[in-house]
Amino acid sequence: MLGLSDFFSKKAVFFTILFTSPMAFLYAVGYINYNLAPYPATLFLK
Amino acid sequence: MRKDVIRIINVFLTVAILFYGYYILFHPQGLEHVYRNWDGPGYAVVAKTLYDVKMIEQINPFPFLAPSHYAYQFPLYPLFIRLFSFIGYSESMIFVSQLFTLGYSIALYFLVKAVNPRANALFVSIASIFVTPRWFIVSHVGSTEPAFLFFITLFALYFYKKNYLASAAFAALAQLAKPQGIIFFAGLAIYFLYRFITDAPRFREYLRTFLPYLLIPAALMATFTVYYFRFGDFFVFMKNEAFPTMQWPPLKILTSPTVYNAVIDLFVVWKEAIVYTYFLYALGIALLFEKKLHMVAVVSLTYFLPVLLFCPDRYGPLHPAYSPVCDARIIRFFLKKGSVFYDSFY
Repeated sequence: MLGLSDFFSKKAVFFTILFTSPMAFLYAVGYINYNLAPYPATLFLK
Repeated sequence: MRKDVIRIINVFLTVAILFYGYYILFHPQGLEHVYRNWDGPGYAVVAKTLYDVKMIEQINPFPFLAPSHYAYQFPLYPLFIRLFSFIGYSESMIFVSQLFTLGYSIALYFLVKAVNPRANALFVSIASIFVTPRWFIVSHVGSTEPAFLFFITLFALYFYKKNYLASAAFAALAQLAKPQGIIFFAGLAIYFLYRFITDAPRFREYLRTFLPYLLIPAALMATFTVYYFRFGDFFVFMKNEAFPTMQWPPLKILTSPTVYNAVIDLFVVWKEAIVYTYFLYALGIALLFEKKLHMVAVVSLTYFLPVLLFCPDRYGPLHPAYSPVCDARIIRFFLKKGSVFYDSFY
């Protein structure tokens, strides 16, 4: 029977996740501009 | 083991410094831009008012939302925000979600160690800071999900350690953090029902194991009782129809031409991200069954099936006082109010 290791090598998975992690940063910085509350939202909390 | 935990903390702090540092140094609005992200402000309002309707009406910064809308924000995270509010509500909001995020990564390390001692738990928990990208952003702005995931991870960890009372207590805390907690109870009920049927002689033992998990519905009832005293309605949470997100039949989202009443148009091609997401969920659950991790497999399946009904193609009635008014703020709110799939194809 085929196992997961027939599709992915451990090294390839580690490499891919480590080198795609910075994408999370770019995604977050882009996303944050499109999920904002109207501006006065946090003023009352000062 | 201690060294590994220190490594996780180091990576976590480096990432946090890079992320927040970018906003402090380079963004014209600074951290204010991070504070303004949904759903943080909603939880901050609850932290400030503790569901007091009169106080919400006085300071409600989102007049298009009825006070009863805040019943969506479950009480655990706002209570923690209030606990640390001496540093400021907005600051406390980020601090608490970051604290729980770190807690989640460390708890995940111990969970992986407990389930499979040969696995590379350090790698998994470091990857858990970044994966998925949506989780990365959710954990770095104000949100209840880190608290929810932290307690759910502890629930699974103590389940595998056979300390069912602690496990049930953490599941109940997860329920106080987010409405979805009750689905874990449904999953556990199905799992134990299956055990009762297939292994009848050990019925009493299973029953004793299952009983502490009644703390989960008890926590939900406690939350609803608080709502009864604050909003005057025990089921106020159920009656909130501003965002009808679940619709019959399943997978309607794949053929629906709109999202929150906005026509998707050519961007419909990006809906393949939804198919990939469902594929990844289904693959994970299939692997859990294959590895004979039955409890988590059944609970995950119970969690997964209702997600197939997810279809936010329109929005429901808003605050009656504001709904007929075509307020620019309302339109902006709905354009910017994200949901997991909405983000993935815009």
